[in-house]
Amino acid sequence: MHSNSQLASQISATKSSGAFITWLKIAWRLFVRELGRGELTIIALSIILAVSSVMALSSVTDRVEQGIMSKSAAFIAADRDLQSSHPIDNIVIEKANDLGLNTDKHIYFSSMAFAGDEMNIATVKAVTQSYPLRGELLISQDLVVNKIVKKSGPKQGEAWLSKRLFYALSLDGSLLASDTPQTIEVGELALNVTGIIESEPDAPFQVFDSGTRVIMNIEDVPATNVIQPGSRIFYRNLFAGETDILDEFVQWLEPQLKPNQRIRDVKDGETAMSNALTRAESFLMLAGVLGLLLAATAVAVATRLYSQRHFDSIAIFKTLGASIQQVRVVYLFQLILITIFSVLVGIIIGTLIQGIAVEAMAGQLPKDLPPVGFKPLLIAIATGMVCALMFSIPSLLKLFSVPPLRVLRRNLGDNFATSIMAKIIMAFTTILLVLLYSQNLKLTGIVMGAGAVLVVVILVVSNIMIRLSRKVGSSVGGSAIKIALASLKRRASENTSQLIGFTLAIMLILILYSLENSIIKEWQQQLPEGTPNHFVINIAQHELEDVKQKFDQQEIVLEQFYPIIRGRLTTINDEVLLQNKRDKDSSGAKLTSGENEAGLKQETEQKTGEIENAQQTESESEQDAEQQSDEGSEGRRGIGRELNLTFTELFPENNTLLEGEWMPAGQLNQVSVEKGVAERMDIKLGDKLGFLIGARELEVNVTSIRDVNWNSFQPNFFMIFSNDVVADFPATYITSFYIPKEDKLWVNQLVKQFPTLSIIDVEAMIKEIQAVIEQVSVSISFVLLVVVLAATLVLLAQVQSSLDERRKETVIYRTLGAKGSMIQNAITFEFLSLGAIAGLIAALVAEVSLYLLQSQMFNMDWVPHPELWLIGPVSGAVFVALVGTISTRSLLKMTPNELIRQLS
Amino acid sequence: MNQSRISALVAINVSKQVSLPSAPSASSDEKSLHILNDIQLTIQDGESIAIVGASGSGKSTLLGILAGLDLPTTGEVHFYDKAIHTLNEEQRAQIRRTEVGFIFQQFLLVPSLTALENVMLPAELSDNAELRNNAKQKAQEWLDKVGLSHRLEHFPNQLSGGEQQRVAIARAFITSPKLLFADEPSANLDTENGKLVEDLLFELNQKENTTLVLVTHDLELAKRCERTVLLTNGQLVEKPIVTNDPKDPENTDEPNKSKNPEGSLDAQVAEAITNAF
Repeated sequence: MHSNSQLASQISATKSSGAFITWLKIAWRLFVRELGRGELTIIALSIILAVSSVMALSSVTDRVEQGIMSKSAAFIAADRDLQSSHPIDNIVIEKANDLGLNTDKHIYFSSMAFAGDEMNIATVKAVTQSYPLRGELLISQDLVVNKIVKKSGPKQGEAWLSKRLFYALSLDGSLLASDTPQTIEVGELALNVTGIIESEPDAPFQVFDSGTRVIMNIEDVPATNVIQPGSRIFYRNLFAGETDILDEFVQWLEPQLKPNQRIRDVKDGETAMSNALTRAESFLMLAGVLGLLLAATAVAVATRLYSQRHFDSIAIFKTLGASIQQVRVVYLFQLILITIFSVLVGIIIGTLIQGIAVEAMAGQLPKDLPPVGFKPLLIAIATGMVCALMFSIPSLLKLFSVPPLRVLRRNLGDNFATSIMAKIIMAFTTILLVLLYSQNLKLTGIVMGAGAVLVVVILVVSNIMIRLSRKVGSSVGGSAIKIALASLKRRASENTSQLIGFTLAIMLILILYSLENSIIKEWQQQLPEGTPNHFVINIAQHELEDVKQKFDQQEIVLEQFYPIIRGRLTTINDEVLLQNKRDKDSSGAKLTSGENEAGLKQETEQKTGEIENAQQTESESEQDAEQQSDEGSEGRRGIGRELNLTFTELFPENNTLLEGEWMPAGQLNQVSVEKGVAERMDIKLGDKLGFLIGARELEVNVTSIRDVNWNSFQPNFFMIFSNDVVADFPATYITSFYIPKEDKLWVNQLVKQFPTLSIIDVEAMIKEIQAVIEQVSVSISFVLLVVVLAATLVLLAQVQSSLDERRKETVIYRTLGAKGSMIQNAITFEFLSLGAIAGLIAALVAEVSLYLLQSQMFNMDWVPHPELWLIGPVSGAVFVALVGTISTRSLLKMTPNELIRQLS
Repeated sequence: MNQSRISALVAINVSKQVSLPSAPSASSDEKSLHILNDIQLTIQDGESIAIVGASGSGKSTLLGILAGLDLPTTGEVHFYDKAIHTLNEEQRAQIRRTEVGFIFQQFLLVPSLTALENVMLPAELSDNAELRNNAKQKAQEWLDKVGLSHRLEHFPNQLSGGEQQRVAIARAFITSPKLLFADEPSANLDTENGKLVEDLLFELNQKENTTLVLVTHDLELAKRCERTVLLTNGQLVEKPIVTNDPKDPENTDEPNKSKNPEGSLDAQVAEAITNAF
């Protein structure tokens, strides 16, 4: 009848498509049944969580990124700009237009503006009608807060004024939109006043929001006749377009740049906000990666549970004659169905979450965001698939290898160890996922390093525990303890894997919690309530007392007054520093941002009005210097421009003394140097610095080095002299103060009284930063919540997977008449101690990870987190015990009979 | 009559040893446990045979080897004309799929499938396209035959033990196997339900003319088979000529042994089982 070879051919005949479809039907049936019976809940939830969190996080991050880019672009109202202190050749604009870039031209100058009998100095920005290329220009046509978005610059013959200038010229708000607008004269040209500037994208930090400003059309400039030889004019060409075209353009432009020209891209415009957003982005990315890891762990644990529960089914299938191939097809297809189902649900939930998150941050994101791109969707789908398939491989391999003999020998296959190959596959998949998701080698390294530390610590700890139990076990007499210890030993490997799951979950929560805490704390410290929102500069010596009095009358607390003298660092220990040629041209005062922060390094002067957009950053001056040394010059480079110098013997509030002593008594000619400059210029305590102030050369000794908080919104200085050095130089004074919004009009009165004073309003900027910080704080707390959910899921999956074993034990205890409360207590105690141990290990590894993350990823100072060592074990114990007790509660409600029934 | 039958299952010199890796101090000989020794057994087509023995006598191991779920350490097992000890797992699965049915003490239904779906399963796994396509109808018929037509959509945990075992019986018969293995089919049931299941099993077995290999420690149940063999200490004590069928004229083939109570199989079984406890 049959021979063995005939058998083989028969087997291959079973591969017919009809049979295959029947197998798929079986898989579909199993999927539907098990889904309905809740047996797939944990595994489906894990995948859903992985997909939805990745989907939500990567689309939110995507949009936040766009937010940063467009904010930064708005910051210069373009993607790139070319700044120059003399007219820029037309060929530049022509070339840009040829390449298909959008272009805009600006001219900045200051001039008196006249309206009837009133006049006021005005800072003029002349723009083309394509202004702004990026960002949003808000112009209102009445004085009530009725903002109208203007997308293009003023027409010829029109002028838009800042509110302060509008008031200063005593203009009538009701005539703004009328047919007979009021006019102002700029130079020889009369312009119709048709709008009030509410906000403009490229106002540096919105510093001059309330300054006396005019925006007019560039075509009108010649008619003003203001530009004369020797006038202080500042020119800007602006470009926007596709990145590759911009790059091509910049490549073309760079070799032709003149010494007083520079091309800037958006990254130069780093503000506190973009900084906050970047850090938030890092946080979101990290949270995403950790959430991903947790979800992957949950998938691994859940599939393990799933496969444990299906050992019998597989054995039955095989006994009934199912071939390996049939088993594989049926179960892989079922897994694919679970995956597809969960990925779909995950995408829907993820989209909802991201919608809510984007809604919550709407104020901080560009108004017309492009729809969620395909990238997050693809990443989410890929994540779900990879998680589901790769992390279930070890369990499935185990499942497939269950021998049919299990139907007779019931525990056969229970203890199959996970193969090394499967472990390697999982490790590689994890690294790949983290790398793909973060696209950041450093982060991947840190996460993997922490993971390795975690595994090693846990293996050591559980090894010690087992050894201890063995030792104690042989010496202790009580049989109950012996049984307990024996069961501990028996379940050693299960406990280890439980411990890994618990620890991972707790550790990731601890890490994110601490990071979130310190990031938000740092942000809040950056801008506490009552942060000065105005700067007063240009206070003349003789006005000082009167001004102080005015503030006293208004009960406004002033920060310290600092005198400002401009000077240049020329020598260090008699070594003459190389000076930058450009400085001669760009002597303008600068409101600069800090290295990365939005601190106002108070280097302002108000002699000319051309300070408008000359926000030279510190990094720029570094670049200048570097360029110089690249040119092959020898010797130390200078700072590259004039510095604002001050003298005071009062230690500035927001500074920290790093080295030396603050203005020690009995010494003359002292200077205190800011840390950054000191490092860059290699200035040490005791060095002798030479300055050129006006025409006078002087020498001072470095007696201290300070760290300056550039985010403090207070005047900050690179160099502070002792009073004896420059006290006799004519100086103007600067200070900052906080004034609530409702009292702001008082500032106008002040300016009327002291016309030479300049008030810089940074309220809008502070508001903006605070708003971003608040929104981002909310979103990172939200992300933390998602991760906590993921962690809970891991715990749940982990506890569930031990439920079957516990069921057996409970049957025995119950049958022997143990009280429910006794069993409950035993289970609770077990979870409590497991949780506490996991929490302790988690605190240890979290501390290591935090050190690496804070120092390597977030550029923050690492401080120990002693609270983790308490929060870890306590929250671990409580959390695990809670989840464990609640999910094992059903066991105790069942009668032994029901339990036995379930077991069979 | 026996001569006219073909052999359904033949075991020649079958032995089974397992190693005990958990006893590190034992010598190499002590490390292996001899479960079955030199088993010789021939089962004729259409015959019903009971393998009896105490707990731990190796009954289940023998059943596993005969059913092709496991391989003997040494020896041969022939299933009709196939030497199943030479086949790989896939090939043995193919035989189980087409020609063997199983009934277990623990019922072993797939918990997430309904009664109907459990019965359909072997038909759907079958290589026979006709059987596959009519799986549902056939399953319904079989459930009807075991008196469960009102329980088609119930899950195993919604069924009583007796009902579960009846589903298992329907599942075992749906592929019309040549050989049916039953492992303590009524051991997990109360007397009444056990009786019901036993009756059903023997009734269907007779109707379908299936060869039945029954493993049990229940002597009463064993008696319902045509023949009983005793497994004790891994060795088979067989009286192939002593059949339990009183109508069989060859029952008196070896009068000496049946007259001697010491040597009778029943007594040996009873003794072996008593000793085991």
